[in-house]
Amino acid sequence: MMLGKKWLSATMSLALALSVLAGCAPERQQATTGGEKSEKLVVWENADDGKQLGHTKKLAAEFEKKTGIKVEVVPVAILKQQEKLTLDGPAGKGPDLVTWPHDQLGAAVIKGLVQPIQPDASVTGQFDESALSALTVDGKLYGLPKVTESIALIYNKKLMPNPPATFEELKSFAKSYTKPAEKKYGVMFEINNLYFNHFLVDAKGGYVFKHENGKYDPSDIGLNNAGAVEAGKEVESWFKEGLLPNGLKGDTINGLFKEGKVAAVINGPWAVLDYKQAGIDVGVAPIPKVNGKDARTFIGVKGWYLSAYSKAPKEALELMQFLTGKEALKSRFLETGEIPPHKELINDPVIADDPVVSGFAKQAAMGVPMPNIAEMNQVWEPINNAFNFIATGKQNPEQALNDAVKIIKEKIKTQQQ
Amino acid sequence: MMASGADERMTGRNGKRTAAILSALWMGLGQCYNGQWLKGLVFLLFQALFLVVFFDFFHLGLWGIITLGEIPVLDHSIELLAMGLISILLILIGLLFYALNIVDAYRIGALRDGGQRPPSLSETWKQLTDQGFPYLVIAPSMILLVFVVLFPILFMVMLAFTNYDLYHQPPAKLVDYVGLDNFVNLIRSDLWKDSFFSVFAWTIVWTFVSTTVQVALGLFLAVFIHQRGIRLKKVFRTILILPWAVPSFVTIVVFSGMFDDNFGVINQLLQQVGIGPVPWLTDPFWSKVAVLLIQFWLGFPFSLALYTGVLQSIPHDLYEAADVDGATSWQKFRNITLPMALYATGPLLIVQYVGNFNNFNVIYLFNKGNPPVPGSTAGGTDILISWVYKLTFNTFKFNYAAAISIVIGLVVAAVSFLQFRRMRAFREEGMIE
Repeated sequence: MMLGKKWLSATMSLALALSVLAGCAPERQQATTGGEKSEKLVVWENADDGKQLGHTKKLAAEFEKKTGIKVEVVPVAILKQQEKLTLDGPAGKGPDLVTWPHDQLGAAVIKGLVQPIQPDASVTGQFDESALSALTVDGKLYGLPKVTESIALIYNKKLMPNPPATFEELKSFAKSYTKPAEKKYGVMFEINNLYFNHFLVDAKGGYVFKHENGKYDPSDIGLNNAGAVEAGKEVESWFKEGLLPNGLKGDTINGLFKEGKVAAVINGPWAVLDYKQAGIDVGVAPIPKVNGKDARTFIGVKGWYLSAYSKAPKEALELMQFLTGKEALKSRFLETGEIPPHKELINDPVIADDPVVSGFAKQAAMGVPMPNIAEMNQVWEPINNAFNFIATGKQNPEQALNDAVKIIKEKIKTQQQ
Repeated sequence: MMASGADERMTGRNGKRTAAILSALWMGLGQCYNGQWLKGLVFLLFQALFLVVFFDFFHLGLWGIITLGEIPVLDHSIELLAMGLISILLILIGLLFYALNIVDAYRIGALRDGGQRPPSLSETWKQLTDQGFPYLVIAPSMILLVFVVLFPILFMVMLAFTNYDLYHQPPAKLVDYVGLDNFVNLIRSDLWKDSFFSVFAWTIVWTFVSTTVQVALGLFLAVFIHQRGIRLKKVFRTILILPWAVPSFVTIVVFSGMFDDNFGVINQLLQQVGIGPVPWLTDPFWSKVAVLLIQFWLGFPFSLALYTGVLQSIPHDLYEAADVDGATSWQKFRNITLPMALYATGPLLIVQYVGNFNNFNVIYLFNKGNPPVPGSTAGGTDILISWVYKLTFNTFKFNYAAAISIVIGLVVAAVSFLQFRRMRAFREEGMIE
């Protein structure tokens, strides 16, 4: 057919034209990687909390008055900031400073969303070592901390006038006090969850990832070493001896503590208001020493990070230092109740004289940050499943932890594949 | 004005070829040559605008989908991939019009060669709205479908051949094509291999049991209510259809609370009648039972409604004839009701089986695929789709997610295709003899 041939040649020439079109790189709009100065700094602050937002806005205005640099504070949900930055950053609409929990920092570094900072030693010297290490990835510092959070021992003053000095004493108190039939428990906490039992694992010699020189080694997992197995046996014993009920859940613990059935719980500052409103006279203290060692709980740190797309990194760093300065963090604590990882402020009367806050602050100062590398994502589910198997007697500690570490390693391998 | 002159000139000559070639050179030229000036001009303008408006987009998109970008940070691979797909789809739509334009020029040219007058604009319009009416009506939804359904599927298929994961993610890194690596790694990885068979086996059991029981229960209730002696038929039907009226995710979440080991209503009731608390959420076996029970509850009203309609359409004389022959109720059900009902609803049965095979909602909302099973990456109630969801999003392997979706999709498509072909409802269009 004549028409068929025509068709063929037409299609061929079109395909040729298209392939030429596709072959050479087109002109793209140069994205914003440095270059022209922007006339204002943009900060993304937590949109979920009006107090935090209000405080940052107030500080931004102060900064503007002091330096003449305009600062715009934009509310963005704290857990959505990374996702939003991946889109807004390249488009040139991104902020200079962002904030999220430190355990998401590792992924952000891999994605290239933030850049390292090099503040003076006088700046970094103000903060707790542990808080700074939370914001360090591969030996490089990516931000400055504003808040630190840790669990601590929260006790009912009526049932436990003074917290014991050692974990062993705490356990024997639990043994003497607990009467499951009356739903009375001496001490309750989610011992089957790594977030709450990390201090036990740590004190016995276990660890999540080997941590040296500001770097985590995801291939060296210490969750099934001899120490971790010891911790597993400790977890097992609490259930075997009936000190904790089967099917333990956070809700159950809070409910019983608010009913005044439990003498002490291990929980975070977020729970305190609820307890107080239930009419419990609470005291807060650091978790007592285990094996004669400080109880190093997992801490969570929220910091300000410098966006990789910042057009004015120098000014942005200046603003970051202003926002995490002593005065700024003090007024932030007074307005929002967030505990700063600031060495001097912890001894400041506003914190030191508040028994509840100082208990958490002291505990946070001796905690270790949750690993901030992306591999940590693979740890939580298998390890908590393992502690649950131990708690319910489905597996012995050794077997459960070995299985968990095997799964964690496989998942990390898959993630990195 | 020159139409009549042109007519004389063209009669008996091969004008259709010239018209087609002209239209192939540039849309609308052939139409102008045929004397359809306005139509020709519209086509001409259409192609010009199409090229002018989309040229840069096509250039970037086609270059992007082939290279996925060359400079990190500047090039966003995923955006480029999407742009490339959209470009290709738009070009295909453009080519469709282009082809229609050539065919049209050729046809009208042939008309003129045969000595006929080309249809005027109003005649063309009339023809279009008369004969082409169905096409005209479905065109917008077809175009929408291309971008709402076809585009995401193509996007997913493309992702399955890339290394799009946490470590290869814009803006810092570029995404690259990796060929079949994802599929090969999936087979090799211990993470998948070790748990795959137990998950797959449970998926099959789940699909088979949940669907069969929900259908059987619906059919049984429909037949039961359909009996002549039953009063208040409408009331029964209304009540039984209610589980369907409540949004399923609400039902699932409520059930999940009711099945709670310690505080759930179900265990409290069981304890009152002297049966110990059943570990609905923490024991793999019992959580499987629980999730099946929930699916029966959610699924039977649809079958009930379906079979209620089908039963009413079965001719009554069949039963009368059976009565004359002295058939029992069971014989009547077995030999009349059941074949007729299954015949009418066969395709829908397959849809239900496939739906349960991928019933992510029930599994995930009930217990997130839990309880955990020692030594396994999958929970006790995880079916393929929920397991894959957890693994891929937990490990940020978007490329694996895409690859597995393709595999699941192919399996489902193959099974459905074979079943559909075997169904009598598709093979022959008559009623049962």
